[in-house]
Amino acid sequence: MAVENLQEGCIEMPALLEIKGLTKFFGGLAAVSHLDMSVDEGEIVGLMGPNGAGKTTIFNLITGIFRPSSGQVIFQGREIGGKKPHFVAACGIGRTFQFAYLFPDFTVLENVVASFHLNPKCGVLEGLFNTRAYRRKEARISDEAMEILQLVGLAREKDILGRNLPHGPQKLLTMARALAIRPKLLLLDEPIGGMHFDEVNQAISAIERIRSQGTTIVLVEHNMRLMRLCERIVVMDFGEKIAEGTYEEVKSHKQVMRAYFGSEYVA
Amino acid sequence: MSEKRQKLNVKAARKYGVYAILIAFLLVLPCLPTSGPYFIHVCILIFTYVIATSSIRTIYVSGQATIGHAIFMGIGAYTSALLAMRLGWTPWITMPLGAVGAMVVAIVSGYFFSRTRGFYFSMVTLFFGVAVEALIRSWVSLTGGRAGLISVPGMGVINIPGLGRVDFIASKVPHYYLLLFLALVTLLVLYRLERSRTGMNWMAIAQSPLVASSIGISETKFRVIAFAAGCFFAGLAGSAYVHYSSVLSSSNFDFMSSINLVIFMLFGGMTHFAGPTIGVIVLVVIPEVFRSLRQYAPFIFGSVMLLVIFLMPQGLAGLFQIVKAWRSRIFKRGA
Repeated sequence: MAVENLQEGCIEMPALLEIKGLTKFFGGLAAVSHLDMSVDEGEIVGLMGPNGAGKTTIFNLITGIFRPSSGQVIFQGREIGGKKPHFVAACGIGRTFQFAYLFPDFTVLENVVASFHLNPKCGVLEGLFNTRAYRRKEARISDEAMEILQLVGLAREKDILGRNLPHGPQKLLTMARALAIRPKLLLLDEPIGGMHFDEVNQAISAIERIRSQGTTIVLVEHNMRLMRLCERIVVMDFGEKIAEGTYEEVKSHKQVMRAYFGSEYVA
Repeated sequence: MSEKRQKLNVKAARKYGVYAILIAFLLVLPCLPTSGPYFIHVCILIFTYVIATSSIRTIYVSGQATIGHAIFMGIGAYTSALLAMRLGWTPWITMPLGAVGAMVVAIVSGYFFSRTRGFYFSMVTLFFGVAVEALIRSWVSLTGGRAGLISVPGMGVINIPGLGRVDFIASKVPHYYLLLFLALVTLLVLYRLERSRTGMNWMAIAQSPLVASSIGISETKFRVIAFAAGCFFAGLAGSAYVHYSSVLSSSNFDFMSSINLVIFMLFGGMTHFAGPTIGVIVLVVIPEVFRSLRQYAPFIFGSVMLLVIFLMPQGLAGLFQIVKAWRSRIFKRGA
């Protein structure tokens, strides 16, 4: 049946991530209301909107930090709304935070190595007896972690403690860490916020490389350079989707301009 | 490459050599002419506290500041003692069962405790400790209440193939070796756990539960594992000691006993694996040495604690790092 459909070419590829009627109330305030959105495999989608529009709340709802008031979050055909964060991560959703949250007492390399908890699976007893298979696994993990550090351009800083890293590299490190769980979907919350010019270039080229490896990305950003990378942009205001389309389409959208500049400046 | 490997081997040999010498020293220690029964008793006390304090540190590594740890020693001790007394089982079986009993209680309670963090976790463990201690004290028919249990069966006389008859009744020395063995096993297991991925997950959760969960580490699971592992060895310390001392009272496991474990750990240094061991040795030996100054003990103790906290926030084990830093600075200046 499925094969037939494929041959006819009329099978609808299910979206990687599908959000249906997602709503989140904080007290009486709807931070996100009735949001519908979908992300296809291999896409790069931008999420944009003025401060307080509910972008980060969406990320927190997807990754299980908040429980949705109503609505569904479906990832690879599986309902994940309201599940625990570590479960969502195990499903294949990696994320970074708006602030450079990392493990301050771990070195840069350890920060990434810590992310290999899921993949390959390491048992408590294996580590306790320090078996040869376990040691081989850890050696391979450390090699793979170095590859990821190279990808974001932090290989030289691998032995520096997380706390001693400047802000820009810290944010790059959080990206490397999220990447290390081998996510199918990567959520980046303001990946270049607070970075200076060189670091922005570094971050953007890292994001382009991640994308070329086939990882689906959703990112929240205010920077237009990064938004231009996106195939599709969803614009939000006061918890609602006000526009969706390509960069060019969204740029001239009336409601978007009103949200950003105020109605009196928009003809 | 081969030269590098050789260098590594030399380094490893030196490291393991130090441990081998230390263990050899501990093995011959009771045979020295200067070691009287009292000295052996202090050593057994030290081994017991090394097990208990190292196990509390494991829980702290996972970011859980428990201050009710002594009660798990108590659960282990009472489980083992009651099984041996009421059912007549040999202490060789009840001792590990005591540790398992403490672990089972820890898994169940730790699951609920893991919903709280930081200060609230400390409070919950404190209340748990106080409540269980009160339960033990008031359940007179089972635990003997405030008077406690006396004449808990000892380890008896056993035949070990290869060693012959070992008499635990006539001498303290077999107990010394038993506790030494248990302490070494405890340190080895806890060290391996901490250095493995499990330990990495514990430290990750301690530093940031939010980030840890975002990379797929289950906070509840690993906090309960740490709590259970720590309490297993606390139970072991309790059950091993009770068959040596043969008396048991609930007041041994009250709030102050838990606080003492924390003090041992902080004094030795929490950041270092050897910290609790060093702290226990120093803090058990000092009062024994200054026995004649007994009435000043709290004063001396308090002053030393203050000095350590202000001058060595990393504890005594932090001295290693300070010395290392000095040495490298001097060498740099010389070069």
